[in-house]
Amino acid sequence: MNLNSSNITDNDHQMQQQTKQAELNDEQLDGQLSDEILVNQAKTGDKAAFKQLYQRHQGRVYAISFRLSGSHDHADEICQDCFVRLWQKLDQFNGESQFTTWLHKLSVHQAINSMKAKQRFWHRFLPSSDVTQDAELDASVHYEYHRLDKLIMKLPERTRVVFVLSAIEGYQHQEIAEILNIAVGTSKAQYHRAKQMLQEMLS
Amino acid sequence: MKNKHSKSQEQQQDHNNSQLDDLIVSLPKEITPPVDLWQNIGEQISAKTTHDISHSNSTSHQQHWKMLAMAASLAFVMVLGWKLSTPAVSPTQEPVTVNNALSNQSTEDLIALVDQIAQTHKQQIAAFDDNKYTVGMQLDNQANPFNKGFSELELASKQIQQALKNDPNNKPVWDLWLWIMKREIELLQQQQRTPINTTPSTQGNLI
Repeated sequence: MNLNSSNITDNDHQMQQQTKQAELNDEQLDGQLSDEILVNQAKTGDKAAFKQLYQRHQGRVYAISFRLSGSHDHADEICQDCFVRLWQKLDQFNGESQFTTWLHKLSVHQAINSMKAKQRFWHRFLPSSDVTQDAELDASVHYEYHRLDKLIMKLPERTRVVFVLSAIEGYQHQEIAEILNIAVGTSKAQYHRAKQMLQEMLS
Repeated sequence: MKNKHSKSQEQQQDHNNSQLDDLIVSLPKEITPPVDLWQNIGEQISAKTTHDISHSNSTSHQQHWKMLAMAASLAFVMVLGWKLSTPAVSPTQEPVTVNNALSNQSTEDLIALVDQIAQTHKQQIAAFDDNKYTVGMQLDNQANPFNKGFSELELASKQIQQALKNDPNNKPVWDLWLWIMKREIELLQQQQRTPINTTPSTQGNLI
């Protein structure tokens, strides 16, 4: 009986090891470490691991930053701030959700906070009409864009932000209302306004 | 006839709806940053790791502005205090070096280094000045809040440079001088980004 138990335990142990090995293989698929492994390494202060995370996710974070802010200059700032913030908050990532989901939320919040801070700053010195960036000009001069990106840049700021969060990033109006500190109805109205404006631009 | 027109409008709207949906679906999830952002990120996380500067959140321009104002004021106070308390370089003061490299240089070399850095910095500022018309800057406009801040920083920088030449081994003064010059460059960069001189946009609700 004892022998059998011992065999079962050994078998279990062997299976566990095989499972662990399989997980490790998954994590190191194509010679690349998984986000979770890189996060754990970065948590210990490993900047090389953090740089890999940056290289892997910079495009996604930059796209969010650019579409929300409507400006490359501001998107540069937001994207940098996102990764600096990420470095500071790595310890708070406990693996309950996917790293990409967590980073996405962090990026959206960072972008919105940065935009608010920028406006607060400039409102101290300039009339509000000067504060809104001429996103269209910024967007169309130097870079090549997807057609929708070009159109989005023409939307008023709040309308654009709501549209990007709802239609592109898949947020619910309730979530958008909480993030932007606006009413759910306002979020819906801005979304419909955005759609209407974009449809007019397309026609 | 009216029905036909209305039907045509509906068809057009459906077409636009479908076109918009297609555009949303085809929108790339990623956009490559036009410039490499890692260098700045790396510098910032290194600074935060080594110094644990909790108040250096660069997202807050308000805080940034306060820091600039405080730094400029602090610089004036320090220079003034230093000038009043030490009319000449104190012979009893132990030499404090900026880093190992500086510690190996003579006072004359350090003074030469101050001039060299100041010259390089001047050229950097001049480069911004050359571009002021192309980027819409108006450096001669004193009503511009940037100019006021920049003038204060520039004055502080010159005062500190002079103080440093009198006492080139003073590490805190070195640090302060380099910091002030960095802020000058950052302020000019910010000025380039601001829509301060653009015509008021008719678009744009505020968040």
